[in-house]
Amino acid sequence: MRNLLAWLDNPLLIKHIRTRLRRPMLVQSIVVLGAVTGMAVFWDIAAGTFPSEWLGYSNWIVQGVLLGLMGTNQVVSSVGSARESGILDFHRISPEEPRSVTLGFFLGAPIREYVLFLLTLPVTLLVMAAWVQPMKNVPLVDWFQGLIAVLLLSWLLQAVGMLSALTSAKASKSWTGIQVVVVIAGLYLFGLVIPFLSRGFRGMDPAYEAWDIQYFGFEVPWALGLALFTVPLTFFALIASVRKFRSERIPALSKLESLGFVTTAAVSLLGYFWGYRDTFIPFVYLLVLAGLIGSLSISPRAGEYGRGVRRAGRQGRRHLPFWDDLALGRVILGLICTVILIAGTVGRAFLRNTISGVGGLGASTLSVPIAVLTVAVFGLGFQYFRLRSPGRAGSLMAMSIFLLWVVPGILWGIVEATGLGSSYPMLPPILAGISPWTGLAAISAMPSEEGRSYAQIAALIPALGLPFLLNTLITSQHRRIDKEMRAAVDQKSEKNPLD
Amino acid sequence: MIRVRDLRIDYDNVCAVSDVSFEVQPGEVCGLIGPNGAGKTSTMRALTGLLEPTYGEIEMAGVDMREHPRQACRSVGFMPDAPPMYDDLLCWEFLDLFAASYGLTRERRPEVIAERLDQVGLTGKREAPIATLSRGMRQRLMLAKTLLPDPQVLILDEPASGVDPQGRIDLKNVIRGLSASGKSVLVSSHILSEMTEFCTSVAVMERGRLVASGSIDALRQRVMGGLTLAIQVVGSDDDLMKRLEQEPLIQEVRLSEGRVKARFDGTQDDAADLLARLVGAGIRVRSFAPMQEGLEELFLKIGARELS
Repeated sequence: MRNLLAWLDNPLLIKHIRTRLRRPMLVQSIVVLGAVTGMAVFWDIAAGTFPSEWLGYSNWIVQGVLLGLMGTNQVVSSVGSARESGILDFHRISPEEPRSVTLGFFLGAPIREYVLFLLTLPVTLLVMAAWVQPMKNVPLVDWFQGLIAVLLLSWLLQAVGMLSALTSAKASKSWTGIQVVVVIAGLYLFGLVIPFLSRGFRGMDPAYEAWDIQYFGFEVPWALGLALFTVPLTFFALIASVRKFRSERIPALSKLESLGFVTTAAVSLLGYFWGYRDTFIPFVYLLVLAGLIGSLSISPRAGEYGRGVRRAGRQGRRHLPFWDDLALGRVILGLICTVILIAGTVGRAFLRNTISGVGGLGASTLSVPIAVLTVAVFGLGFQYFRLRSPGRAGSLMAMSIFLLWVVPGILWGIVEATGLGSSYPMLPPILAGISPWTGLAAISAMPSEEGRSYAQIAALIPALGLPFLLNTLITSQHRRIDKEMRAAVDQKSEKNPLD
Repeated sequence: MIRVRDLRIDYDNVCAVSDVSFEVQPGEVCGLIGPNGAGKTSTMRALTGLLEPTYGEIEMAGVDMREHPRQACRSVGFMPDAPPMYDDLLCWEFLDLFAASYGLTRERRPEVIAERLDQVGLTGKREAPIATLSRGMRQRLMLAKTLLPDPQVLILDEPASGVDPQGRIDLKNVIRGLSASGKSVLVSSHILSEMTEFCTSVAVMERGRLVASGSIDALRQRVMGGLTLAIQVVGSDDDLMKRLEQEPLIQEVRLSEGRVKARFDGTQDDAADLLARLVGAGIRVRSFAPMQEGLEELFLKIGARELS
C-alpha cells in the first residue's frame, strides 16, 4: 500500500491530474460524453431494441476513440510540447528517474480520457447485464475481452505515439508523418478487433472463424492473443521512451535491447504465422522489416563513436565493449542477422509457400539468405553514413535505398508493362532480383526455371558484394576517427592548462 | 565548487568547445562571457549533464559528472535563458512539481515553496496561472524553481533577461546572498555592467576557447595593465599634465570628458603618494579617483586581442 502511494505520488502524474482535471474542462467533456451516450441509449429504447448490438458497438467504439485516439493525441502533444519548449531538459537534469517521468506522461497525459472511459462503463455493464439472458446467446466473456482489447491497443498506440514524439527529427507538439502512420496502424488494429466482437455478438458465427488468433498453432482467446503481440511492442516502445527521457542524444534502444526487440519480433511472427498456410514470403518480409527497425538503433554517429574511443582510452581499453551505445554496431548487427537466419530457417521448415502456384518449399531456398543480407546491407550502410556524414546520414541512406532498391523495382514494373520483357526475357528477372523488396518474392515467383536463376543471381550479387564493400568503408572511417581522437589526446598530454 | 578541465565538445564534425579549463570556488560568482557562438551555452549544458562532452573532466560539488551524473545533478541548479514552463499550472503547482522531482517530502514542500516565492518576491503570485505572468516574473519563478533543492552549484544563463529594474536589484541581492552562503555560481549574461556588480571572477570565451579567466582584479591588472587615474583640478589642466608627465609611474596622460586621465602602473599606496606630491606642488586637486574598468572594457580588450 505504501509503495502504491509512493508510486502514485509521481510528480508528472499529479501535474497532469491538476491540469487536465480542472473542473470547467472536465465538466464540459462529461456533458458532451453524456449527451452522446444518452442519445444512443434513448435511440435504442425508442426503437424498441434496447439493448441492441448497435448500442454495444457504439459504446465500445466510443471507448476506443477516447483512449486510443484522444488519449494518444494527448500523450503525443504533451510530450511533444514539453520537448519543443525545452522543459523536458529540467526533468532530465532532476534526480527524478526517467522511468517515473515516462509513467507520468504515459498515464497522466490521457487522465481525462481515463475518467471519461470509466464513465462509459455503466453502459457497458448495462448491455452486459441485459445480454446474459439465454435468448441473446452471447458469450459474456467477449465483453471483458473487448475492454481488455481497448486497453491493450490504446496503451500500444500511446506508447508508440510517445516514442515518436520523442524521436521525431524536429521537436513538435503537432502530429508528424510518423504519427499519422501510427494512427493508421491503430485504426487497422481496431479494425482487427471489431470482427472479433462481431463474432461474439453474432454467437460464434462460423464465418468469423478465420479471425481466430493462433500462437504456434494453438488457438488462444483473442484478448490473450492480442496481449501476446501488443504487450511486447508496448514494452519496447516504453523502454525506448525511458531512454529518450533520460537523454535526447542516446539511441532509442541500446544494442542489446535492439537484439531483444528483433528476437521478440521474430518469435511473435513465427508464433502468428505458424498455423497459417502460404505465408512464408509475407513472414520473411516482416522479419526483414523487424531487422531493419532493430538495426536503426545500433549505429553511433561520428561524434558519439569518438566519445566512445575517448572513454575506452580512459578505461585503458582500445575500444568499448560491443554492446555499449558508443561502440560500433557490427557485432550486434551480426547477431541480429543470426536471429533472422534462425527464424527464417525455422519458418521455412514449417510454413509452406505457394506464390503464383509455382514455388513450394524448394523454390524459396535463397529467400532467407537474401533476407539476412538485406538487413546486413541496410545496417552496415546506415553505420557507414552515420560515421561518414552524420548530419546527412538519413538522406544519404534514403537516396541509396531509392537507387539500389526502389529504382530496379520500378524499372521491372516498366519493363513488364511495356512488353520489353518478351524481347529480352532475362531483363525482368534481373531487375526484379536486384531489389530485395521485389527479389525476395521474385526468386520464387518467376514462372520459369531460367527466370528464377537470373533473379537469384541478380539478388545474390549485390547482397553479397555490398556488405563487404560497406564493411571496408566502415573500417576506414573508424580508423580515421581513432587516429584523430588519439592525436587530440596526445596533444593534450603535452600541454595541460591547469599545470 | 565547479571544476572543469580540458573540456571539449564536438557536434559531429564541428568542434564547439575546445580546451576549456576553469574553476569556480565556493562563494565565488563567476561570469561566463563571450560573443554569440562562443560556446557558452554548450559549456553550460555540459556542466548540467545535458550534453556529454567529447572529453574533459567536470566536477560539480566534488562529484564527477561523467561517473555519477545523477548524483552530480542533485547539487546543481540550472536556469536557462528564456526558461520554458508549464503554462497551464499555477505558480505554486509548478514549484510543487519540481520540489517533488527533487525528492522533497509532501510535508516539507509548502514551507520550501513559500520560502522560495518570498526570496524572489513572488509571494503575491502564488495562486496565479503561469500563463498570466510577465517575462520578468517568469524569470523570477524560474529562479525560485532553480533554488528549490538548495543546490551547492548554480548555473544561470542570462538570468536578468527581461527582468524589470526592481527585479534586477532583487536578483543581484539573491546572487550575492547565494555567494555569501558559500554556493558556487556561474552566470552568463550580455549585460556586462551588471555582472561587474556581483561577479568576483570571469571566464571569457571566444570561438569555443577560453581566452582569459580569473578574478576580475587580477584580469584587470593583467589585461589593462594598471589603473587609470581620473583627476580634476581647480584652474588650468596644463600644469597638472606637465607635472604628471614627470612622474615615473605614469605611462600616458590625456584630457577626456573635462578630466585628466592618466595610466598609472603603481599600487593604491603609490597613488596616495602621488596625490600628496601633487598637493605639495601647489596643484589644487578637486577630485582624484582611480577609475575601475568594467567588464565591457575588459571584454573588448580581450576580444580585440584575440581577434587581432
